Amino acid sequence: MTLVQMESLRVKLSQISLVRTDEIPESVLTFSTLTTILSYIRRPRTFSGAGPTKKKHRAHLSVLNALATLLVRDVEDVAITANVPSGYENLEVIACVGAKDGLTLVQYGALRQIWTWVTTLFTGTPGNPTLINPSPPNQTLKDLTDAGLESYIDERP
Amino acid sequence: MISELITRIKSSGTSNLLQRYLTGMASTKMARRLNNEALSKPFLNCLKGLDTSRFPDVVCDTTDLDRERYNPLLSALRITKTRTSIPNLREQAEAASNGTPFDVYTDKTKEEFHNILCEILHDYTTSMTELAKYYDPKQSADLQDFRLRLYEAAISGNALLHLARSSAIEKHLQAIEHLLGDFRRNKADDTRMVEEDEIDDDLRSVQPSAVHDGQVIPLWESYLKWLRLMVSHFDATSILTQYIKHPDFQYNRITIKIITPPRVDKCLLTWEQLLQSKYFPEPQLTDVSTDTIIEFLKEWSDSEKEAQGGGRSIDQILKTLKGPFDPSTTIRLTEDLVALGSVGSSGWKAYIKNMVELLTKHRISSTVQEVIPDIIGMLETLRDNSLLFKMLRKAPLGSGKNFTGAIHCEALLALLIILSRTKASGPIYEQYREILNELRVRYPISFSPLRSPLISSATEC
Repeated sequence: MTLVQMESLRVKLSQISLVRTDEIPESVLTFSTLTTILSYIRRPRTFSGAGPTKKKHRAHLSVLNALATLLVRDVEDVAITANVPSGYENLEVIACVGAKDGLTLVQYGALRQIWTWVTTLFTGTPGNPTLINPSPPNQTLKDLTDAGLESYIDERP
Repeated sequence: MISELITRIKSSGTSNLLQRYLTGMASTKMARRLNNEALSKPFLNCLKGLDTSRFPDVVCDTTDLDRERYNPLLSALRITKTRTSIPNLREQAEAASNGTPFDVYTDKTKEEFHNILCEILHDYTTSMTELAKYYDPKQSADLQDFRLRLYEAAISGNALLHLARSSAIEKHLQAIEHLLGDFRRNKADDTRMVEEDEIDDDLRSVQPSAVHDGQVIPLWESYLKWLRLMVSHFDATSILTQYIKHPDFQYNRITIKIITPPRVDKCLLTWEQLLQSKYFPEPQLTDVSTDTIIEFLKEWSDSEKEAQGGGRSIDQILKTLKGPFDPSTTIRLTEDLVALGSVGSSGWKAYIKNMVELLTKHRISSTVQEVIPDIIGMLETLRDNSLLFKMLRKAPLGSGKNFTGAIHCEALLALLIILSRTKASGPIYEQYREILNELRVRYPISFSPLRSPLISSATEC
């Protein structure tokens, strides 16, 4: 999936909601209010390491957990899933990325960070390394061929 | 980008590209974690400040030799230049390399091992902090040094990862556990972070006070978990690399689709509406009616000046109380509490009045020190409750408007997977049809269609 397609999918998702505003069941409103109140009640935190017992499932979860860790850029929640069939060329991973404050478009934020990083590499100049171009040409990403990318991140300084 | 770099691991056999890319991408987050005053600096400062001459004798332990022999750190120590002098460690690394008997953690190496740990930690913190400046629009850093910083951060991060995975670090931390600082997380910082929406659950989970599966983790394990958390991105890269390079990995590519959870709505019930709804029935086991509860909460949440009464704050008083006990400050403490209780709701005033009376009673009998833990507990309860009362006043709980919650990521993912695997129809399927087609999970015919995909999650700050 290209970045443009991902952004298109994000826009579609951001435009829908499960129910219309004037049809929100009271039970849903109650649930939202309760969870919001609970988030402000301080209590000792406990953590659980419980997981699947099957070795194969543990291994898969370990890999998915690693992927989820890598997809977190800043303050996001990430849930991740993958289908693991054999006989297919690609392993398809689906990640759901949400911002803590519910306002930031995290996906866009992550893309912007990538763009920032790439454009800093390619367009930044000494003395002004934090130059940010929020809308770099897509060509910039296409230029990340083996030689182009490796010259920046795989070379000893 | 990540998908592309992950795929290259299979063709090139190395994860260098992915690792350095992610080192840069994660530098802001990792630098913030490493420099967290309340939750990380105590670990760093304690390790750096230990008096190595007090380290206990080491009992010879030759278990886990294979684990050490194949740890990349050991081979790196043979040839890497270090500021710390580590002749004994190098000798053991050489022995391991030659297939002769060796032991990484011994009486001879314990000080060197600790010093090299501190050196790597220092280098990692410095390089990550410097690297993070490239991603901060307010900072100005020299692009010429970018590759150098990236390289340093990747090298020290890798070194710390392998050190944190070694059995030697487990032996070391267990041996010096009695010297490690058993600092308890300061709840004041916890409260501050809630207000700033900066909670880092992963960092909180490794604190000495953390409870895992009903048990408080041993102090040495808290330090180990913290070390491993500091290099979690390197660990994740390593796990992925092993998975992709394994002969059983059959795919040519990994594709990653990212979806963003939609907002639920901007509305919710106010807290009063919640308590008056059918979902909150009249209490059956007590004489307290719902109306009484509402009146109580309204009275407490109506005050704007609590927690800063008379210019005194709860956090300031707590800081004094948690320091060394000084009998001469008792009168000042009483005055501070009286000032704190001079404003606010009647409930607030009554609660503080109880504390003042308790303190006065013990002051007369010169037993103030005995009651300090109780006063601390009462003040912490008061402060924690103040956060809730403050939120009851504000939107969205106070007005029912401006709610910013989104659908939980795991819940949305589970919902979409379920919908994508059914053939039912209806408005919701039509609404989601395009997205469901994107997300549809495909299975070969020979596989059971009931097999569940696995879901994992990460919550980070």
